[in-house]
Amino acid sequence: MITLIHLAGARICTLEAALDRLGHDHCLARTPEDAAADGPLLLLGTGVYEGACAALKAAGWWRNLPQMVADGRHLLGINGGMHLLAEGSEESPLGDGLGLIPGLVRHLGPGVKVPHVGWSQVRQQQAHPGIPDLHSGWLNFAHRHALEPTSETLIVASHGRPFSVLEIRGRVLGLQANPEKSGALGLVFLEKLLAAMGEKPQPVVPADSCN
Amino acid sequence: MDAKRILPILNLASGTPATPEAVGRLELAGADEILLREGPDAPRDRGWLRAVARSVFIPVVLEGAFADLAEVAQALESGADRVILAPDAASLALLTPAVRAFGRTRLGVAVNARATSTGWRVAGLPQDPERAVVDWMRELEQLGAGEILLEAGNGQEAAGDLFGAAAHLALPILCRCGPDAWSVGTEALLHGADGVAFSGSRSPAEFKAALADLGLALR
Repeated sequence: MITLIHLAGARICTLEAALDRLGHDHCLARTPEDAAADGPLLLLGTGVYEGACAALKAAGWWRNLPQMVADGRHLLGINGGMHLLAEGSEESPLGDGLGLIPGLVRHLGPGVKVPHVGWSQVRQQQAHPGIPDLHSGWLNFAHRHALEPTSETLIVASHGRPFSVLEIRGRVLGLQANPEKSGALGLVFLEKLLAAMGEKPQPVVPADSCN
Repeated sequence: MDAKRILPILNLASGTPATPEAVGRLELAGADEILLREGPDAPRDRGWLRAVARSVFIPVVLEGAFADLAEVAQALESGADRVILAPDAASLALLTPAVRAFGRTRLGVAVNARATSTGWRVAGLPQDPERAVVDWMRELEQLGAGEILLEAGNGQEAAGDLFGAAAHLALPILCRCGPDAWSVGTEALLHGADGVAFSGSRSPAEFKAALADLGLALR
C-alpha cells in the first residue's frame, strides 16, 4: 500500500484522486507510526520549504525517513517534496535537507518568469529500466526552485536554464513535475513510477488499512 | 520549452457552484488549466471544491474574494492549485500573510486596468485612482504575488501595449478577456502574456487552433 505523508498545506487530495483513478491502495499518515507496513512513501511539499522541514521534524519523519529507505522502502518526493530530499535549498540556506538525493536546490532565474507555472516539454537525458521516454511530452510544473541537473539526471526540462525533472538514486525518487496535474500523460507516468517502486494497482481499496 | 496557457473561465454566479461534470468537459476540450471565477457575493462555503478539483487532472485555479487566511487555506487544501485574490481591500490584505503561509507559487492577484488619456490606470483602487497599472503590479510582486490575472477594461484595442509593458515584470501574467474576445487574448499572448483566461461559447481547442499559425508554443 502507498503511504502519503501528511503535511499541512500540501495539496494531498488531488494526488489521492490520481491514485484512486489508477486503482492504487493508499493511506494518509501523520507520523511514521501511521505508515502502512510496507509499500512506497510519497512526499508532497507545501510551497514553503522551511515550514515543511519543521513539520517533518516535529512529526518524526525527518529522523525516520532515511532509516525507512535503508530498510527497503521506496520514497518518492514530488515537487517541493523533491526539494526536501536534496542536500539543501537556497530557499532556506541555513538548513540542511534530508540528503537522500545529491545536490542543492537553486532559485530559478534570473531572466525568466518566477514562479515557473504551467506546462513544459521534458527531455530524457538518461534511460532507466521501467521509466518510459516521454518523447518531449508536456508535464505540468509550479515551482520557484529546482535541482540543477547532473550527468545522472534522468529527465530534464528548461526554464531559462535546464533543471532536473526526475532523479532516481537507489530507492529514492525525486520528481519536479506534478504528475497528477499533467493530464493523461501524467497519470501514465505516475503509474510507471509506482511500478518502478514495486507498487501494483489494487482493484479494491480497504477502508481501514492504515496503522 | 514552456507553453502558453489557455484557461477557460467557469463563471460561478452567486450560489451556483462548479460541478465535476462541467470541469470534466473543459479538460476534455483542451484546457490547460481551469479558472473558477466567483462573483463578489458568492457564498463562502466552498464545500463543492474538493469534488471538482478531484475530478480533473489539470490545474484548477479559484478566483474570488476571501475574508481571512482560513478561507484561503480551505480553498488550497480542498484542491485548488492556486488562489487568485480579488482586488478588494480585504482580500489584498491577505496577500503577504497568505504567501508566508502557503508560498508564492499558490497566490495570485486580479488586476483590472482602464485606459486613460495618460496611460493605463488601475480600476477599482479607490485609495489611489490614478495609480499606473505597471507600478501597481510591481508593488504586488514585491508583496509576494506569484501571478497577475490582468484584464484590460476599456481601450482593448491598445491591450497589446499594456501586456507588452507587463511582460517586463518577473512574474507570470495571465490575460483575462471577455466572452469570445479572442483578439484581445491573442494580442496579449503576442506581447508576452503567459496565458489567456477566456469565457464564452467556444472551446480551448478552438482557441488553440486559431493561434496555431502564430508561432506560439502551445500544448
